[in-house]
Amino acid sequence: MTWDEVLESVQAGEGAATESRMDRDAFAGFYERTARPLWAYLARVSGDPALADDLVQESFVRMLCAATPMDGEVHAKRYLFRIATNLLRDYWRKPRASSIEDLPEGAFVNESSDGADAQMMLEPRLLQLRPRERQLLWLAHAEGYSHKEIAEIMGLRSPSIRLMLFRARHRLAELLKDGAR
Amino acid sequence: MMGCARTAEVQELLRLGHWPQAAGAELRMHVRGCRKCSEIALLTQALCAAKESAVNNARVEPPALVWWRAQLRRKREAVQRVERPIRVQMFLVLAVVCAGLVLAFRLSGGVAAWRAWMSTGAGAGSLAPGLMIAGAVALAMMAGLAVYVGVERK
Repeated sequence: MTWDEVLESVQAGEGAATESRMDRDAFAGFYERTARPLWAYLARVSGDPALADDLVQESFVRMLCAATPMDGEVHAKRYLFRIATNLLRDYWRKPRASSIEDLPEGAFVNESSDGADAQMMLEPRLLQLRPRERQLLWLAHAEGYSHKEIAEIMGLRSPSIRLMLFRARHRLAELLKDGAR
Repeated sequence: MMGCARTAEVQELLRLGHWPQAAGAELRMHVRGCRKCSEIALLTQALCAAKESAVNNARVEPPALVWWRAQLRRKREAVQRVERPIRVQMFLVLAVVCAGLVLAFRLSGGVAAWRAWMSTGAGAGSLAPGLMIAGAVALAMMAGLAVYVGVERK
C-alpha cells in the first residue's frame, strides 16, 4: 500500500462516517445561496468587512472538514452560522493591540454603503451595542431564526434568549429613536 | 417583558415583506400604540435593509476555491492522523534503545569501570562482557528502528 493509498483510505473512512457530506456540485449551490448572507452577518455584527472576508472562508472550510452529519440545507446553514459565530467569538477573545471594540466608530463606516437613510442610521447605533446583542438581533430580525435556533447557533440556553433579545431590541430601538430626533 | 397577542401577526407580515402595505389600518394603528410591535417593526425593517445592502456588496470567493482549500485541509488532517501512531511508535522504540543503553552501561560496571578502562588505554579486559552486551543491544535496536522506519515509509 502506498502513502497516497493510505491517505485515501483514511479519508474514505471519514466519508463513510459522514455519508451526508456534500459533493462538489451540491456545495457550489449551497455556497451560492449562503455565502452572501453569512458575509452580511459577519460584516454587520463585527463592523469589519475584511474580517468577514476571512471568516466566511474559514467557516465554509471548517464546515466541509467537519465530521458532523448534516440533515439538509437548513441544518447545514444553521451549522455554518454556528461555526461563524464561534469564530467571531474566538476573534474577539484573542488579545490584540487594537481590539475591534477599541476602534473608533468612524472605522466601521462601510465604504460600500448605498447611502440609504435607515442603514446609515443603523450602522453606528448597531455598533454601540454589545457584540452578543448585535448577533442576537441580526439572527432574529435579519435572518429570521427562532429563539431555539438562535440558542443552538450561539451556544446559549433557549430560555435566556427571550430576555436577552427583548433587552437588545429595546436598547437598539431607543438608540434609533434618539438618532431620529 | 410585555406580551402582545398581535406580535406574531406583525412578525409574519415583516417576514413576508408585506409590512406595512398588506396590513390593515387597524393593525397599523395597533403597532403605532404598542411598544413591542413598534420596536419589532422598526428593527426588522432596518436590519433587513442592512442585510439586503450587505448581501449586494458581499465579497465572496468562488466556491471552487473554497472547496479546494477544504480538500487540502482534509488531506493535511488525514496525514497528521496517519503519522500520529507512527510517531508514537518511533518514540517508544527510541525509549527502549535508551533504556537498553543505560542497562548495558550499568552491566558493564558503571562510571568507575569506564574510568579504569580509559586510564588503562582502552584495554578492554574487565569491561569486555558489558561492552559487548551494550554494543549488541544498541546495534540491534538501531537496526530494528532503521528497518521499521524504512518499511513504514514504503
